[in-house]
Amino acid sequence: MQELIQIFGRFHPLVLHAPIGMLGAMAIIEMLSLKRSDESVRRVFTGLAWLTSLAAIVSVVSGWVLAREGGYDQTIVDRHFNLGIATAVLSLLLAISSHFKAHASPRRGLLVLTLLVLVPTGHFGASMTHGEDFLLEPLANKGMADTKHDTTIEAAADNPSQPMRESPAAKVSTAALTGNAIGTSPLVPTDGSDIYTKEIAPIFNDVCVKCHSASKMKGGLSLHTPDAILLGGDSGSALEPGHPDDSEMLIRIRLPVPHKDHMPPKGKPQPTDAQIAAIEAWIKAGAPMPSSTTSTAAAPDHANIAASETATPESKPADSKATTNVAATTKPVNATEAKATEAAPSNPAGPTPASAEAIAAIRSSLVHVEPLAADSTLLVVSFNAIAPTVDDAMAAKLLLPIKDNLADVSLGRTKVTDKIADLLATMPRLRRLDLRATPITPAAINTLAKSSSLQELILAQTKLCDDIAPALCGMTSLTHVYLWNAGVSAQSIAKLRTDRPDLDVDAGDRLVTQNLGTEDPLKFSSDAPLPAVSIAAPASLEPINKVCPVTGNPINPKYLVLYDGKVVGFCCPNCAKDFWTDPEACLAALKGK
Amino acid sequence: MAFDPLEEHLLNLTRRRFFGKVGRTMSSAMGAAALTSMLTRAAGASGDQPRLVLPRGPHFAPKAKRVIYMHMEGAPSQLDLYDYKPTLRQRFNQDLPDSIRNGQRLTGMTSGQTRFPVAPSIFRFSKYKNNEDGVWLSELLPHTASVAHEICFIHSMHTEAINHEPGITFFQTGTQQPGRPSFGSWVSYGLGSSNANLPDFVVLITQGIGNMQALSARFWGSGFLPSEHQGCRLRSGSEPVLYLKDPDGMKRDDRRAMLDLVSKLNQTEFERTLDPEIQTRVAQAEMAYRMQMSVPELTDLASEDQETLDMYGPDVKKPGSFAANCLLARRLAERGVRFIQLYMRGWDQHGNLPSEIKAQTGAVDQPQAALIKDLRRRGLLDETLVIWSGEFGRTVYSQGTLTTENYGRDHHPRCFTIWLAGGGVKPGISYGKTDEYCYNILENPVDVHDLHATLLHLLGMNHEQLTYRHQGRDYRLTDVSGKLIKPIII
Repeated sequence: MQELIQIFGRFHPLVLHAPIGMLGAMAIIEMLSLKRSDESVRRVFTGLAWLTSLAAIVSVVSGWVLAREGGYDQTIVDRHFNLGIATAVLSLLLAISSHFKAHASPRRGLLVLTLLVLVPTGHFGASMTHGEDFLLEPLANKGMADTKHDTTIEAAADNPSQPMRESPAAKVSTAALTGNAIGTSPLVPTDGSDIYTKEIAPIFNDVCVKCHSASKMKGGLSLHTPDAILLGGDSGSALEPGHPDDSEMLIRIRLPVPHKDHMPPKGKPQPTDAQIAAIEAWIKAGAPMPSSTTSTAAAPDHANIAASETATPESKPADSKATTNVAATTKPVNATEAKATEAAPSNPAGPTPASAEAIAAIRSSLVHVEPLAADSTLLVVSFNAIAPTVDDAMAAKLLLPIKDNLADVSLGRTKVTDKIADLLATMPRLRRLDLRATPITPAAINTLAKSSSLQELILAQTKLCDDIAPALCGMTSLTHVYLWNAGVSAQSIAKLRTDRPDLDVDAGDRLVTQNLGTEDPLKFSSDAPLPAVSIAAPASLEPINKVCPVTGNPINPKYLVLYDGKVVGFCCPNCAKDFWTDPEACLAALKGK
Repeated sequence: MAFDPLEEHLLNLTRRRFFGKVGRTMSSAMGAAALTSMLTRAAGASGDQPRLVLPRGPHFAPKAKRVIYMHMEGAPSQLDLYDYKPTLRQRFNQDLPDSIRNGQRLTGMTSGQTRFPVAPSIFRFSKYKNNEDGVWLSELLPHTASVAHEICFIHSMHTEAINHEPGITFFQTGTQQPGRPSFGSWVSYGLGSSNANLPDFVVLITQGIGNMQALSARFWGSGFLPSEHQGCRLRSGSEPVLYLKDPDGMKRDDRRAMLDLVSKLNQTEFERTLDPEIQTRVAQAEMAYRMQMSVPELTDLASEDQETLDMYGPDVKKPGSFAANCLLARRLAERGVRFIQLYMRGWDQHGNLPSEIKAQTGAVDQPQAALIKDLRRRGLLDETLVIWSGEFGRTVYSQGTLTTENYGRDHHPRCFTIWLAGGGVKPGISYGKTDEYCYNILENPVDVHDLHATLLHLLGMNHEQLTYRHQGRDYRLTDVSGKLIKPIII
């Protein structure tokens, strides 16, 4: 029975068109019979009016049933409902007046009134199903086309008049490659995948796939299959298995409904609290999903697409300007960079500029990235701002797409472990690496030893041990290593210093400067002769001149200088200063005046 | 702004389009400030928006990524700390020869004195090993002496100002007149943020022991630069930034919703008036929202081990002490804040200098040395430029009565000592020389513009290219002068 009532409610969008059409027909009849009205026309009109009121009442009731399902913006629902009732009441009055009164004017008045109420009723109804600015959207898009910016979430995909800037497949690369890069595959399903089939997929089908499916991929994201979910969307992966709080999908679902980035958008059916809890539990459990044959095979292809996309220049110059193509040229510009490039024989020509998308992704995570210099393609990245929340997966995801460009990476105080070392060791131009106060182990140093570019390595405040000394010793490019509180014994440090005299090993133990001696106890006297310059006492304190020797203006008695037993006056302090650059010439000039 | 209305209008058109983009991105979940700097950097790089009020990043590869600037407000005596003049001990109470004074203008405080008796320092100096043939330092600075091999002393600094306000203003803004942007603001404007959760330019103040001169907030003001580049003062005590906490009962979601609405209104207003200060306001509200999380984490010293705390000295737990501020400076530095300005007040020792300077150095010596050691062992000193400076020096002659126990010193702009450490400065050297009386410079004079030019260079910026157009002309920190001091750069 419940289901039948629900189905009745869902007939609302169908039924509601009947009164609209009939009211339209009545308007046409009334207009055609303006001049010559007869009884038969009125009878047809009356019949139509009764049918209209019946259809309107059915619409109101079915609409009320449908609204009970929830998920719509309550304010709009209320307005639509009240106006719907008004329409029904008016059409009923219209039928009554037409039935019992032969006179045309009340009937016509009521008809106009009903039509007037119908317009906003329809508007609010359509707002709920099609979105608020559905009708005028093409106009708005036309106006915004030149300023629209593609890092705004959904912007590119939202706008049918603009081609999507990136094929959805390419967006995959980060998530897919991240899994491979750190040597594990966190996204590969294991078991419990029937939770997905039974619980999660229906929720997605209910509230998400209307806009996130193969046919309507808003924000580059589709959620209709496990593969698609893994691919993520424009702003990266949709979920972080095991970390519901870091999963974009759940972050957005939990945002307040009026928030711009809330999903599903305001006015669309919302998931219930139970459904949200189910999604959270599922992600926490590692987001198990049925394995598929395509996911593993697809990843390399996506990577290729991503690589070719980054290599090709931006298709729209206006956009590329806005999306911060920080690295504009490929030629090394200074000694530092040249050095870094030399150390990377694999690509002597210097790196291609990092993709604007990768840089935007890093910045949107509040991670700092800047070019090494104004026209360099090398990058400096620092996780300082959010260090305590950074783990291997996040660091790898952000760094992988720009690994060829990285010259300086600060991961100090983050949670990264040995896993990240695999990626760091393959960065061809990485010169300085800060792993201070991270939970790395000696295994990470053995991995990093493969790097042929690393010059400065900061390992202070780590839990390493003496075993890392041979690995450090073998890193020929290394010039500075910081080992304060790194668990390395004084003997190992001493040995490392002997083995590698060219390597500056800073273990926090060479901080005190040597005292070379203190002066004797102080004795004060005034025995010393005065300096050789003899000071002749002035004959008189009256200045010898009336005009300034520099400018020729009258002198100011405030600015007097004693020179060679004479008092010389000046017009301003600057002239007095100038005087001392060449007093004799000045005095000679004075005589001339 | 621009004088020509038509030019101004055209400028606004491009700016409107530009900020339109910024605004749209700003309202997204991402931080507004981060995006502003991201977009602006792009505009700066493209070169067709020369007047945008925007950070551009380094011109060339920087040696230093950030600055810790310790300003000793009141002007410490170089004679009693750094500039060793042993021969003066035999000139005790002699008159300063006029050939040395050379018509130098004096302050009203000593211009009425009938004689100018030479006051040698009563503190013993010791020689410390550095990368040259050693450096002499006063017994007042035993801890600083222990890091002498990291320090570059400049003995030949000179300035134009003879009084505190114009003196500090000159050091901070490159001119003696108030109203120009502070050094830290220029750095924030030039390089942008490297920690989106904290301000680019942070100011920490320690109250000194002696005679304290006014310390105006305009010393860290942004002048004509957009006010987002102004220094943010962190107070000592439980609330480092006033009004940052949400009121009781207000949820973070509510705050977010409020900010979103306000920034929408601001955006509408901005599109109408095109006033860039509105964008600043939005960026600052976003920054404050993020600082609600980042500042408590910054000021929580729970993660510091006892050995580190001990190194900064007994005052380290006392809020607002120089020790606490030095430790906070290190924590700010490791979080990537671009410019950390420390002020230590109370160096204006016109009388009772020996006892007052002892108290002052007792407060700063151990913390400042600890800061250098702490930065060094964490691998941060090489990329952090540390500056220690007053606004001028002090005279060799005594102000007031001179005895072998007590004397005072007046302001002396002609020569004084400052020091630099880390950040691409040659460690363990001395630069410049003063005469026997420490009154005039004998070689390698360094003026304030030269210092600014050099510091900007170390930060990867050409001081002639870091400009901002205001009232029809391009302004620089170094005005129309400033030359690089190459010998002190690695």
